[in-house]
Amino acid sequence: MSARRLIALGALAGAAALLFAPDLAAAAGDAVGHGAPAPQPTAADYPRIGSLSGRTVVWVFAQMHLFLAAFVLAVPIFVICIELAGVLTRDPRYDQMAHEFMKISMAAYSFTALSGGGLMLGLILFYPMVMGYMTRVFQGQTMIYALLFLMESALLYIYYYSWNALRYGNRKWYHMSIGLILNTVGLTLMFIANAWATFMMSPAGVDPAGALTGSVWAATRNPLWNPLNLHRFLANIAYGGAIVGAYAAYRFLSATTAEERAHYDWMGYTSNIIAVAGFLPLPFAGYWLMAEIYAYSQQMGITAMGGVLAWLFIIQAVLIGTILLAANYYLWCGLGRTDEGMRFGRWVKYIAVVILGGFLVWVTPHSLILTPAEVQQLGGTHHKILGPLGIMPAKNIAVNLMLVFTFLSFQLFYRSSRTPSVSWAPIGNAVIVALYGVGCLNIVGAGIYGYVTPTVYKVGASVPQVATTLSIIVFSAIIDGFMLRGAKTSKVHWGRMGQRSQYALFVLPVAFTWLMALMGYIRSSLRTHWHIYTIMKDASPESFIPTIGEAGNIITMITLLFMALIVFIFWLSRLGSTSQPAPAATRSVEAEA
Amino acid sequence: MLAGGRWLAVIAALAVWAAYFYSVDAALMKAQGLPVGWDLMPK
Repeated sequence: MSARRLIALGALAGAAALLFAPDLAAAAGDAVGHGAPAPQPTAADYPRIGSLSGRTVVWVFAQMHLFLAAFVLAVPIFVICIELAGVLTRDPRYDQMAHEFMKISMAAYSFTALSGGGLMLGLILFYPMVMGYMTRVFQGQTMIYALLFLMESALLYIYYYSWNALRYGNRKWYHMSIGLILNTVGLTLMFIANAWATFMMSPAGVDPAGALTGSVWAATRNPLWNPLNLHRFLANIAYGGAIVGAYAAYRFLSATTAEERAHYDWMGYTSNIIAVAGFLPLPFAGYWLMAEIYAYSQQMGITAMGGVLAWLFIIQAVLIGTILLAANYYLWCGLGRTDEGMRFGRWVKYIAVVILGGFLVWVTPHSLILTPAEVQQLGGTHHKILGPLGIMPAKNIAVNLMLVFTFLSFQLFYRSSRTPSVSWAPIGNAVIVALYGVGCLNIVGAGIYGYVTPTVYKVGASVPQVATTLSIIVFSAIIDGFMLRGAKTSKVHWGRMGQRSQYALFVLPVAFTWLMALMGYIRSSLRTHWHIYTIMKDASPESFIPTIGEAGNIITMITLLFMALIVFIFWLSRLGSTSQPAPAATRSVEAEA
Repeated sequence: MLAGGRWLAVIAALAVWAAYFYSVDAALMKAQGLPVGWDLMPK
């Protein structure tokens, strides 16, 4: 067996062992035995520091840690894919870009650890009884988490600093093996942290009083664990892609040579593709998470989507619409990179109409905040036209069509530099056009079906809609893949992009960050006045859902704070690759030597 | 390819995709325990 295979096998075995880390922790927990009931704190059990709001301190640290952790965990995932692409295509540009992505991630890593430490301190300081109970439930798993964190740090540094030492031949496979283990450790860390967060929402493995009845594994594998794992995995990739895209845009705008501009244009394009690829399946993962929340506790589901928090889903729609519009705009601008690209330009206006129309339907609220006089004037609480557009069937049609047409934008861009040369290309095109046509009709039809059938069928019909969107994406990509084999390619003029297109890349991380902060607030608020839902009540003076206005201010403040940090990280990354020109005296000494 | 042949391909593809989406829709509704008839309406 070759050394390369041995390395790959070793890496896989290590990765598999690490994936079972929660099981190892479970075994550690079983050895300790079953615990006592959950403590029920009183207001006196929450330490106070002056007029400082403990909840806000923890909120800010938790959200900042989540942003940074999402970024630093996501980057190595797509970096290893780009590294592999470099090996397979033998194109050194991939390797250079992957290395540069890692450089940005490295600058963010210490801030991730710092915010994590701040969060831990805040939790122990302001919520000691909650932390005491959580530690008792998860026992040895907390130690495994700490160990994995140490491993993550060590592997990340080894992966980054060995880049040039392990660059070619068999050594490259060593390097990618390190990357594989790094990603496995990173994902395991995230899965463990997710188990703690979801245990607080949907506790399992404990009796109604909170005493551990099963193993730690039972508490880990609670009903919301896997939906959150999938949702965060995809969201991290989209988020990481968006942030490195902003870095590429920053470097593009400040580039002084055509070569540099071309490089960062290509980097921005790749980042946008990563962000869109992570984002397209994300609404479906979110839908699964929400469906599981409803299945676990209908009351929790109604708190999210039927109560005061429902209004925030309108803001969510605004932000997601912004993300899709920005990503599409960037792709449309990219058509100008090739001489043939503009032949697809005439289709852009139709795609824009669908995406804008979907956006408007998605942001339509079902109920309006009205004065009694306005209700009287309207003849009811629901507007006769807007009312039907505010419910899920309309929104499901809107979101699915927006995703399908975003993929179409990408497909047009991909085609703009390739002309199929296979004889059956006209038939292939006809099949793709028919797929889009019938698929879109099916999405609209399934939505209308929701208006004429009982609620259970309405919810059920959303599943075929998702399957249709995925079918369109998968089948048209497969047909395109075969059809464009041996296609005539035309030159892509990297760097031939307007400056406005780069601002679309700045919009993406801002909207993503705001969105994540907003949804984090919603997810945490679902526990209402419970620390651990139905097990351990929050008796602190802040045991209430913050008002939308207050939450909006804090969410915006956190977003601005994170953006300031990102600007600093970008500046640091650029500083690292900047060299001061040697003074004349030094140059002459060097020349003499 | 002749224009007529292309239209034939479009019509054939429309029929195939319609059959595909119908069967997927029906299978997914039934998999969720929702009784549906040939027209996919509740039984």
